[in-house]
Amino acid sequence: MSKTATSFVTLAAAIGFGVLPAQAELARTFVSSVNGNDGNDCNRLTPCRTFQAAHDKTFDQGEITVLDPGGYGAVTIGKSISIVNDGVGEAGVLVSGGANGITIAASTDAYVSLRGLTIQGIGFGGGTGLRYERGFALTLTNCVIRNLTANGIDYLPSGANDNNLVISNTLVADNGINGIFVRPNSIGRVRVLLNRVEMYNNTFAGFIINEMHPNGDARATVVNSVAAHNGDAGFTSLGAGGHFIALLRSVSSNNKWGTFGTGILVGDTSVERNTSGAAANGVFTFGDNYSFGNVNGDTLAGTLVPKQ
Amino acid sequence: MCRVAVSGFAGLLLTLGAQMAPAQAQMARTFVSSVNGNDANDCGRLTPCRTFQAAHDKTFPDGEITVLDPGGYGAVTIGKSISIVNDGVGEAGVLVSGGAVGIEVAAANAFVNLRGITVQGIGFGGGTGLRLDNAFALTLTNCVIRNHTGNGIDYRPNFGGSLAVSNSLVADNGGSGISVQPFGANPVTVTLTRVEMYNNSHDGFTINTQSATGAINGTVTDSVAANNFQAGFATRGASPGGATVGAVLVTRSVSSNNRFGFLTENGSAQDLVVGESIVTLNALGAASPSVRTYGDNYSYLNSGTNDLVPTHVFEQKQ
Repeated sequence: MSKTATSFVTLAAAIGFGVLPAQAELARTFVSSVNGNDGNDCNRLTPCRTFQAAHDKTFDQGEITVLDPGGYGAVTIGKSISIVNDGVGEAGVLVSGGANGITIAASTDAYVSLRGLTIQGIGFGGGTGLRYERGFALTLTNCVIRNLTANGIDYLPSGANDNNLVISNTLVADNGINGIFVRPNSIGRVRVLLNRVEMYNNTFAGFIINEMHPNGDARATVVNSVAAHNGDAGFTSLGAGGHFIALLRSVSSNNKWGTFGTGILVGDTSVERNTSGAAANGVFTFGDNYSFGNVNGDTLAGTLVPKQ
Repeated sequence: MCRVAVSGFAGLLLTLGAQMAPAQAQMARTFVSSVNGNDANDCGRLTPCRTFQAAHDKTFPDGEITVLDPGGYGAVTIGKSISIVNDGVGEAGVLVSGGAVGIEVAAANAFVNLRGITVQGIGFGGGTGLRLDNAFALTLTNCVIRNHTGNGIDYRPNFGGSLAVSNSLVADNGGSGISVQPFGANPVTVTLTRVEMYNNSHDGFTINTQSATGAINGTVTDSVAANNFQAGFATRGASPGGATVGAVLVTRSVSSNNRFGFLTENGSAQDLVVGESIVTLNALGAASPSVRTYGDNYSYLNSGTNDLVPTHVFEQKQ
């Protein structure tokens, strides 16, 4: 996928689009919970009240800027866009009634970037924090996704295209199913990168890959991250198609299993006090992990891999 | 180069002279606001300007622009020693389209410091996030540079200099995330700490030596290059002089889910040295055979030419 090539297509589409609709769109829109109103055009001095209104009035490739702390409501994202809260206070989305906080169903060349958002379940029928159905690249930084009755992040692309997911400096906790559930049903490649992600107190796995498609290929690199106090494994890798997790310089502690499934590479990682054991199946290990106090054994049995 | 001798005293004389000369006053600290800013103002605290460019033009060399509230502040060409600071008031953004450059730095012998700035491409002809043609030192901290059709950061000094980037995100660009391609014989030094480079259509971080005859050295720590369409980290291009012109040392970092982990393109005039780093799940291989290693890297599950193969040159820890 080449961004340059696709951008010109987008350009033509955007220019055409700018002429057509009765309602003007802006490249940068604003939301405020103090003086926002969805009847506004979402500009700096006339901000909108909700993410959805701002999204709908933002050009493809544009940006939504959060002006002040508050709740901004659920949003379905259907284009390349970034939503940015760069430290003005909490920019929150509450989830109930079995709904999704943020749904991403965009074109297969869309780049979506979310920064500084808090998605919180409040019971009342519960729901999912973030549901990804379609797009190209999703990047989450500085987010908190917690207390949902279902998955915190439910990542289930199904098209034939490749999909990239990056999560950085983010907390995914207290959810009723998994913290982060990567379950593509796609022949496209899925590439996941977690850096400084914390997954706590989820009822099932902290992080799980389940490649549903027999010809699919889903791979995650997890670094500098922690999965702890989860009801099932800290990290799970399984599925009908290719599935790998490279778990480096991280922690899996006080879960049921440290790791579960196959295709998991573990190095420089602490695996402590998991109640059913350090690893349920064979892993690849660099032989330098801190496996300690796991109830049914500390052994990371599998293939020993040399450092290079 | 001695900062005190050149920038301090020369700058002082310059600014004192400038203070008396022009009709328009300049200040050591200026302010921008997207609420009540107006570029006809003097950019003082209670009379802020609206754009970075107006504030820049009304700021003394060695002065500072302070961001007052969240908003878009427009593209800026920097021609002097200056710092632009958003220390957590919300997003201070620059949108880029029409093939333009979001932040252009062309300032001889200058020290430029950018903090907390978001530079975003919005299509419509695209462009480059940040381009440097000339400065003694550029430091970026807490910045986000994303979604450009060209490079995120295009560092191409004509007279040498240093670039430091820390705690920043450079993602979703159509070229490379950070491209370093100096011209001429003056030395260049690049330092990256806690930088994340994702989903770029070319390399995450790349150094191209083809236009330089001076040394180009880089140090990368605690950084991550992932999901890039070409290499996570690359050195490309032969030097016009034909000799090796420096090295890039990457430690305690990650290169994963790219096409290549570490790539020294054929004929590259630069060494790429890797230590205590994670190299996983790259589609066409961990590294070129000429990459040097300390032997303590976590390299596995790469497809194609897997792992840091034994032909690599080993460096010795001390």
